[in-house]
Amino acid sequence: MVRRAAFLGLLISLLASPALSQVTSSTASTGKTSYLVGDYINYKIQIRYKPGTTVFPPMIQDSLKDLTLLKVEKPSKTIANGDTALTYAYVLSCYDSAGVTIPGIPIFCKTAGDTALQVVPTNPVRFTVSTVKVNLKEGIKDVNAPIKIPFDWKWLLVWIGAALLIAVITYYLYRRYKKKKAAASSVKPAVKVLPHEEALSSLHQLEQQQLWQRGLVKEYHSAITEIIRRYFEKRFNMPAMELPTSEAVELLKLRPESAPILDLTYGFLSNADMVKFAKFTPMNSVNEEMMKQAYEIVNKTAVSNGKDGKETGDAVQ
Amino acid sequence: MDIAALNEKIKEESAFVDLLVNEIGKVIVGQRAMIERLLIGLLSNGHVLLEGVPGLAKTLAIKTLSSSMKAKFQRIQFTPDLLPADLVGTQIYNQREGNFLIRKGPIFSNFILADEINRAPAKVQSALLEAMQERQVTIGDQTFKLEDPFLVLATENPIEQEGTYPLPEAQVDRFMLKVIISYPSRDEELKIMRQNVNAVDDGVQQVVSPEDIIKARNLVHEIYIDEKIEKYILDIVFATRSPKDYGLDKLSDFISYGASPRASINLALGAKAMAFIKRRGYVIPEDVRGICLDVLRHRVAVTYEAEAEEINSENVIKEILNKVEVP
Repeated sequence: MVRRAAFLGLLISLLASPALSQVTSSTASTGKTSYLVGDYINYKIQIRYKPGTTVFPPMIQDSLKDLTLLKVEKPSKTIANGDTALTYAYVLSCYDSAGVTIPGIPIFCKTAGDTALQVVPTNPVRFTVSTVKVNLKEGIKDVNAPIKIPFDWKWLLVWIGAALLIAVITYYLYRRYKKKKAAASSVKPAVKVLPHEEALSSLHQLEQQQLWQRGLVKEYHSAITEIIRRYFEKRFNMPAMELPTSEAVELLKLRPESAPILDLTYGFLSNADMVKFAKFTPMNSVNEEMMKQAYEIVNKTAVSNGKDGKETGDAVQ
Repeated sequence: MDIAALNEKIKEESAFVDLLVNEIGKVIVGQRAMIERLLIGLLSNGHVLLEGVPGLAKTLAIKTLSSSMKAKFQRIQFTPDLLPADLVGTQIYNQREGNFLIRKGPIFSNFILADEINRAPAKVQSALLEAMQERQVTIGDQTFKLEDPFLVLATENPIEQEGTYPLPEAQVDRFMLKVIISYPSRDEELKIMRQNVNAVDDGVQQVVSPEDIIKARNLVHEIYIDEKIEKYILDIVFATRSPKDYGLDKLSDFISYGASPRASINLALGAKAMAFIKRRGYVIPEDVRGICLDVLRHRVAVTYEAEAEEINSENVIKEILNKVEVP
């Protein structure tokens, strides 16, 4: 039993020996031996090895204990005197005062053609972490100087680009607005057709169509009452198209200007209702009379344009 | 029939309308619109639902209408404990003969006053409304046709809603008209007060027979309704279903569902009855507009948004009437 244990111990020590391995050395360092709480601790592991050797990256996470791993730098490789020097750098920090020991980190490597792994541990690194001595007599100051952010040209270019884009769009919109304004000012104002002018023109057109003469008596009465209702809508600002005869006349009564045509309108619309809704077939003279009455309704209530362009209540004769 | 001839016939046949209105006027002061609507229901064979706060002579008006006619009248006070059998009748076991006899209920009358219809539970309302629709009643295995004219005039109280059973929309739809009764004017109320304080009883006389009503109904069906008026009715009803098509976009959010085809039928029928009352053989847009609110107010349901903005179905219908063009 004792012999077996002695043999195993010898075997492990031989495997770990740099003499047998292709790794010449593996050293760890921190540069300083004393740090303040929160300082960045630059921990470096440098491994020197012969060509043909495969070195596995050290795994330091489990060995840190009280330390916090802040950053893992990119490993750097240099070749000197036929040996390769591989450096792994880490930024650590400690947030409590203590005497810290980073134990030896095992470096695993393997030579070409050999399946067995060899272990070369680094040296342990010791340093102390102490708290900042506070001098109560001095003023308050930064523990560390503020970090300066390097100027980023890319961002500047983005801002300049955005500003240019906004300027171009604003200019385009301004040009468009100016063009529209110019176009609007060049358009002649639409000639305002007065309600009675429109109604008289429609009545004239209806006369030309000769509906009742062609036997379309119902259509004639529908059309003539529609013209008069539309005229009332515009002239008296009332919803005559949506009102039946009695209600339309009731509303007309509220407008003093309509006084001369009240009875005439009631008779005119009622007659048309008889034709439209009661299959009443009027004589030709009644149809002619309807047109005369329609003209009379419009003419007696027409509003003419005054000299200043304002509408006046003068009837058009 | 020629419209001029129809006009003449209507003038002759509608003479009873004035008699009826005079008789009702002996008891009821004012409420001209309500009496007109009751006549429309009578002439177009449609049931009427009257809604108004207590004391507006709803019940009295219906009682007087039926008293002025040579017809059977029954008043049923709807209460929460009323049973369908109390209404339509039931089978009673005859011990002597060892068989079942049928005892007909009060529904077997010409005029039924269903007072405070919303106080009875759904099964009773349902029994009544089924009779209204089918105009027949089944007791046990026997079906009985109801006498013509058969008219249900129901009243509803909009206040004191606790413990009531509001009529479901589908059942309210069976009433041709829903008439809202408002308070009388000051002068009318003075007359009412004097009439009641002095206890003057003129006594209502029976001036119309059921045959007169049936005859008038047949005449109402003959009244000419032009295609333009039919289209106007359809425009109004369709505007309640798809207001956007009629430029009433703002109403879309306020209507949860529009009026049913029953509304179009009743609007046309009501307009004809209105023309009859006005002694005309043809319908004009005024007739449609005159009856529109009463036909549609219980057939157009408004959304919660509308209720939140205090918009009811009447506001919606008025908006539609102000937008749809008259022919």
